[in-house]
Formats: sequence, structure tokens, C-alpha cells
Amino acid sequence: MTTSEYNICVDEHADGLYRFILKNMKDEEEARDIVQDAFEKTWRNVENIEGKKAKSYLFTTAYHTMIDRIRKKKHLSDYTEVNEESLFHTEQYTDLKKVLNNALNLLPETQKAVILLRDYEGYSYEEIGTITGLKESQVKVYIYRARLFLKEYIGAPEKVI
Amino acid sequence: MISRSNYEIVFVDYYDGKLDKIQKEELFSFLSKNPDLKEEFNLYSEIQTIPDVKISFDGKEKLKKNTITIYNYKTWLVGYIENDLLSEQKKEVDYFLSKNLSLKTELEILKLSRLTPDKRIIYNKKTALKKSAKVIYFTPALKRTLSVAAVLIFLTITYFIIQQINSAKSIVADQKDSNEQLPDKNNIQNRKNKSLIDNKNSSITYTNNKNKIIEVKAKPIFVSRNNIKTNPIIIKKQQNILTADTILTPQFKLKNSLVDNSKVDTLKTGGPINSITNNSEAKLAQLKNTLLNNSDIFNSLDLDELGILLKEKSNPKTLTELASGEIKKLSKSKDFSLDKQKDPLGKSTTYALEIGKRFSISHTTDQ
Repeated sequence: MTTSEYNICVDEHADGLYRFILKNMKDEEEARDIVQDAFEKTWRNVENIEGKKAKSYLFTTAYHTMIDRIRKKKHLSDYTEVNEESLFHTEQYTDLKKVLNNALNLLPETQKAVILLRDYEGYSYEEIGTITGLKESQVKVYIYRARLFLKEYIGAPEKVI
Repeated sequence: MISRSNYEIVFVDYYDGKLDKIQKEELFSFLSKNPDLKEEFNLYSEIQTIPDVKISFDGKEKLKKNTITIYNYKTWLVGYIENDLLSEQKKEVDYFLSKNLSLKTELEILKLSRLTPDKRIIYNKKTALKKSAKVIYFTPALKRTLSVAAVLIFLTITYFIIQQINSAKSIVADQKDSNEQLPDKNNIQNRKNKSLIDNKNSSITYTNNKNKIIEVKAKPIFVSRNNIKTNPIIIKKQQNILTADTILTPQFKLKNSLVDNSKVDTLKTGGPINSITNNSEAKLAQLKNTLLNNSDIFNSLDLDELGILLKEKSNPKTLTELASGEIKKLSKSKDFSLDKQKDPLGKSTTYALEIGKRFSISHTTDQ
């Protein structure tokens, strides 16, 4: 990857990467720090990274940095179990995004990460597996679980005006 | 053929409806001939079982594979919105939902669960992430310069490689050459001490029986492949070491000639010895005699060490004969010069003999 390609990569992927990390971390400063760290690592290996794979490299690097930090902060909850209590809510939502955002924050970290990669960046199961280090089948299971959780959280369509 | 030994099987088959018309006629014919078995025949009719069609297995749906059911439809709906299903499977889902209309809303909710990125969230420090690099544009002029530089570097490297190879060859040649002029080891009498070969200077030092250190140097100077030169071979005695700057040169003035001036005049100019030879054999003979008779430079042992040996040991020659023989050999050299010089304080005198540019002998004596 050339310097020019790297700079194009910054323009094209910095925002998406930042959103992905921010949604997971819920900390702007930390998200910026992780994005910067990911790009620095990419720059250090710029000669060994193909332009086409730069995005995947960025997300992979950022994801693992994020997971490390989350674990250090002991924010990492049980990967597989969904907090069932969070499913019980009676209020109506006027904004679907807000509903989904609340539901997203209740997801286990891994489920949250994989479904964000799926919906925000449109990655395939295989690509998400590469980024997260999970098996493709595991990715699929997590996405299905997350999807059903979100569906259950939204509840009846009439709740969303 | 029905008999009293197998009639029971036929009775059961009759009530199970397995007998055809002929078998039935045969059965009834058998009963008419054996009326005592009619009662038993009627008993078989009472034990006949009739299946209860109202009973059914309610777990069949769970056992089904690769098809949408009321038990697995949620997973199928997720697969539907994730676009993981084949076209046939999608049709199956559509058909299932048409049969279960209440579940259609669930599909709609699932569609709503898709997350969309908030474009308002941006990373506003992209400039800090960007890198600048020096870009070298290979202009035609630069290309030409680099090409020339590359060629020069290549030629220089090649030249030094060849020089190294030739230098190695010249060292071998010089060592061979100097060995030819060195005294034969076997002929050094009572050789006591060590012989040291200094590879760096291509010199050999050894100590003879008089404890005189004789050092022979043959430092190679590369000129060309076919024209190898060496520094003059310098032979030193322990007490009187001739320094490099006193090595005999053609310009060296003969102050105290070892020989008659009239005879040496021809030599001191460094003129070719063959001219002497050609001019007059008598002159040369006189020169040889003068050299040997008046020389206090060499004794027979020194000459022995220098390899100027009598080949016929059984019949030793005199020093004069020996010198004459060697002079003959030396006379083949083009350049021959002889000189003598006293140091400024007059404490020592140096005698030097040079034949050609590759051989010289000098000796310094104390007053």
C-alpha cells in the first residue's frame, strides 16, 4: 500500500471505524485512541498490506485493541447470555434508533461487535470471523442471537410509533 | 393345503384379510369337513385389533429436518432477513407465513432490527492520521545520472576485483621469485634458529650460524599482469641495517669505489651490464676480480646464504671463481649499479649493489 493509498484509507474508513469502536466502547476518547492506534499500526506495516485488505486490517487491529481494553476494564460481560431482565419494558418509543441503541447496549460485547460489523459495514460471516478471530459458524450464531434479542426488545411493532 | 396341523395360521390370515377368494373357499371347505374346529375359528375373530385413528404423535414437527416449522421458524426468519436462505427455502418461508399469518409481524420486527450507522458521528482528526512521504520522481535526467553512476560503480568494483586477483597472483610470483634467490635451506650450515616468514611484507628472516640476522624482503608492487615489480630485496645484517632511503639508486654517487674508478665509471651511471659485456670481456673480467678481491661485503658464508653457492661441493671454488660465476649470471640483467656511501658522521659505510630493479644487496659497516 502506498502512502497515497494509506491516506485514502484514512478518508474512507476512519469514520466507520470510529463509529464501530464508539458503539462498542461508549467512550469517545477511548474510541479515538483506538482508531489512532489502529491507523498507526497500519502505517507501520504499510508496505506489507495490500490496499484492498487495509480496511479489514484496520478493523481487525481496532477490534482486538478494543477487546483488550474492555477486558482490562472488566467491562466484558458474559459473551453468550443475554440479560433477560432487559427484555421487559413497557414504555413506548418514538424513535426506533433509540430503541435499538438501548437494545444494542444490552447485548454481550461479542454479539454487539459482530452485529455492528454486519449492519454497519456489511461484512460477511467469514470477514467478521477474520476480524474477530471467531469461527464463521460462531459468528453466525452470535448474529442470530443478537438479532432475536433485538427483535424481542423492540417487541410489538405498535410500540414503535 | 389346509390340514389340522396348520389351520391356525390360515385362521389368523383370514381375519387379517390376507386370504384370497380360493384360499377362503378352501378354508370353509376345511371347516365343513372338520366341524369341531368351528368354535376355535370363531374365537380368532374376537382377538382381532382395530387401530385407533384418533391417536397421533404430536412431536413430528420437531423431528423434521431442513424445513420451517412452528418450532424453528424464528431462526428461519432471521436467516430470511440475513439473506442466508436459498431461493427454495425462501419460498418455503413465504408459504409457511401464508399458513401462519400471525407470524408475519415477527418478520417485520426482525427487519426493523437492522442497525444503521449514525453518519453524524465522524472522526474529526483524520488530518493527524495522514502521512506525508517524500516522493522521488524519476525524471529522464535523473534516470541518466543514476545510470551513469551505476555503470561507474560497476566498473570500479570490477576493477578492484581484478586488481585483487592479480595482486594475489603477483604475491605468489614474487614469493616464488624471492625463493629462487634465497639461500637453499639445506645449504645453510649449522642453522640454529627459526625461520620466520612474514606474510604481510613477504619477507623471510633467519639467523645463521654467526648469529647474524639476515632479512630478505620482497614486498610486491603491482604494476600490471605482465609486468610485476617488487621492491628491491634488501639483505640486512644485524649490526648494520640498511635503511630504505639508502637503497642504491643510479644517482647514488660513488665516493669510495670498491674498484678502480676508471672501471666503475661505466657502472655508476646504472648503465646496462650487457653493454659492458659487449664492449669488452676483459673489462668485465677485471670488474669481477676487482669486486671480489676488494670486497669486504661478502664472505663465502654470506654468499652461501644468498644462494650463491658452489654447485660442485666436492670441488670448492675460490671466492673469486664463485663471484665470477655469479657475475655472469647477474650480467644477464639489464641494469647493474654499484655504490658506496658514508654516513654524515663518517661512522659507517654502506655498500650497495643493485642488479635490475628487482635485486639489490647492501651492507653497512661500522667504522
